[in-house]
Amino acid sequence: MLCTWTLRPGVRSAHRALRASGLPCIARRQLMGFVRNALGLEPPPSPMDPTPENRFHPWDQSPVDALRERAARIKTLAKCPVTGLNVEYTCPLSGIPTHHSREAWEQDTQYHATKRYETLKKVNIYEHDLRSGRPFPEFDFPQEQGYDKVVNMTNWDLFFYTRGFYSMDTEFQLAAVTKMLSYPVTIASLLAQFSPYSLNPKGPITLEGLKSLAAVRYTLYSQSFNNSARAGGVTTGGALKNRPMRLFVLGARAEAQLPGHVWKQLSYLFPEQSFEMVFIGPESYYDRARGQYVRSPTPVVEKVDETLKFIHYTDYFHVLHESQDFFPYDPYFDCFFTFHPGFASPENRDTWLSNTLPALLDTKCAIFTTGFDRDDLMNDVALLNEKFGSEMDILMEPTKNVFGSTKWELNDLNPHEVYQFNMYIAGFRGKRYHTIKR
Amino acid sequence: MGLEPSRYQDPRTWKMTPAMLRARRPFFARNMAALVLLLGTTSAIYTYTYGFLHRDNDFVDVPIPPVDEGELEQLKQEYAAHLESKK
Repeated sequence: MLCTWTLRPGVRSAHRALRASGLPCIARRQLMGFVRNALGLEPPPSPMDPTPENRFHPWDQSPVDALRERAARIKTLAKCPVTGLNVEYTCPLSGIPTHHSREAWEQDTQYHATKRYETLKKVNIYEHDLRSGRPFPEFDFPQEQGYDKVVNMTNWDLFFYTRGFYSMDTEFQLAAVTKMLSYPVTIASLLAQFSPYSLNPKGPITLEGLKSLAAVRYTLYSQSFNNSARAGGVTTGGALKNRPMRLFVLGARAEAQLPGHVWKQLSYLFPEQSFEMVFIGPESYYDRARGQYVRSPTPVVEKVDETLKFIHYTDYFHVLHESQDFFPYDPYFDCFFTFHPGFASPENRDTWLSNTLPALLDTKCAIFTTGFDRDDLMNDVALLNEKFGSEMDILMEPTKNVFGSTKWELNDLNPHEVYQFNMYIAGFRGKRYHTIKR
Repeated sequence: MGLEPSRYQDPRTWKMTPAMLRARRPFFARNMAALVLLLGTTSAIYTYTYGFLHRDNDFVDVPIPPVDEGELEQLKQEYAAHLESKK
């Protein structure tokens, strides 16, 4: 009785098969398994388990079509950093086309000294792992958090452990999941009362930043304030204005396509508050049936459940701001996020600077922005300071995002440029008080 | 209906998974320091008490035979003086 109870179903059926057929090889494996179990040793690794070795293929000889095409695209678009010619040689260490020829690859001392090929190899193996067809149990996200269980937001590992995610033992599983969860959890980590970012000088949050975050937290946790007040026999003025919190995501692209259960992870962290995710930008609504971004004159509303709603506005923010679609703004209920906007990048600098940013600063709500890497965000913040220095407050100094994606990405135009989504983060806001000249 | 097994333990060997070890790493040094402190305190108290109780000096003034001649003589005098004082 005890024996059948302790055996797991799979083992039990194997037992049954053994009894039926009596195959000696199964018997040996069973015996080995028993001995290993008794000694407390690890089971042998399954061939499906990802390792850097079994996920490594040069991209131009990859078993995956998409990656062979990508290697071809790099070869047509990118230029060798040494010779300035087309990229034709695939680096044997990273498996990614990086240089014009073997000679150029050998001459690139900076490439070898900085060990950039190690990061490039990570790009390679993560991409292969996503397409390997292994089971992905880590995408089974946990549901509600028990009220007595506090979520620790110190880093990804502690967040996953305290939230009860699948035990992600390899970097491959982390890369797959953190890329997806980076958007909701970055937002949650800024707004949560146990945020990993502390006040200056110990952390990146400035005093103005704390003012803005305190306003938002007052809304997020107002239910618990009221409950404790009521338990003490004190009647406050009742709950705050009863409307969902609006989280605006400007220039939304990938984040607007994340499925509902991913954004739902944000709601599970703030169970008492309902949210409206407002995705704004010409690429904020992707029609899966038609396979393209769709512009719509009216907002497209998707309701995930009672407490979470997606609203896609497929126009620029300044247009909607001028037509007062979102009016009134309330710093207690509204918060803005721009994920890798690239304020300083030449292609969309004009739109941001001349139209969208003045409108954003006009809202007087907190705005948080992220960058692909340190330089990207530093350029953005430098440009903001230069153009709007007197009209805005810095809420958060540029700092490494605790909940950035751990998956390394590659720029096809220049394979030497590797980045991670939401790697760095900063915050700013239009000045709330009129400056008085003395 | 029982307790669910933790996802952060290997279902076969009951060892902590690498993910759990990573999650516990920030606390490892301080946990170990606390462990050393607690073990040090208890073992110091224990060894002090053990040493104190084993210092057996309750009857050190009682002479144990064989007693040598000179000491016997001295003891006899002491006893005589004692009897003298009683009278």
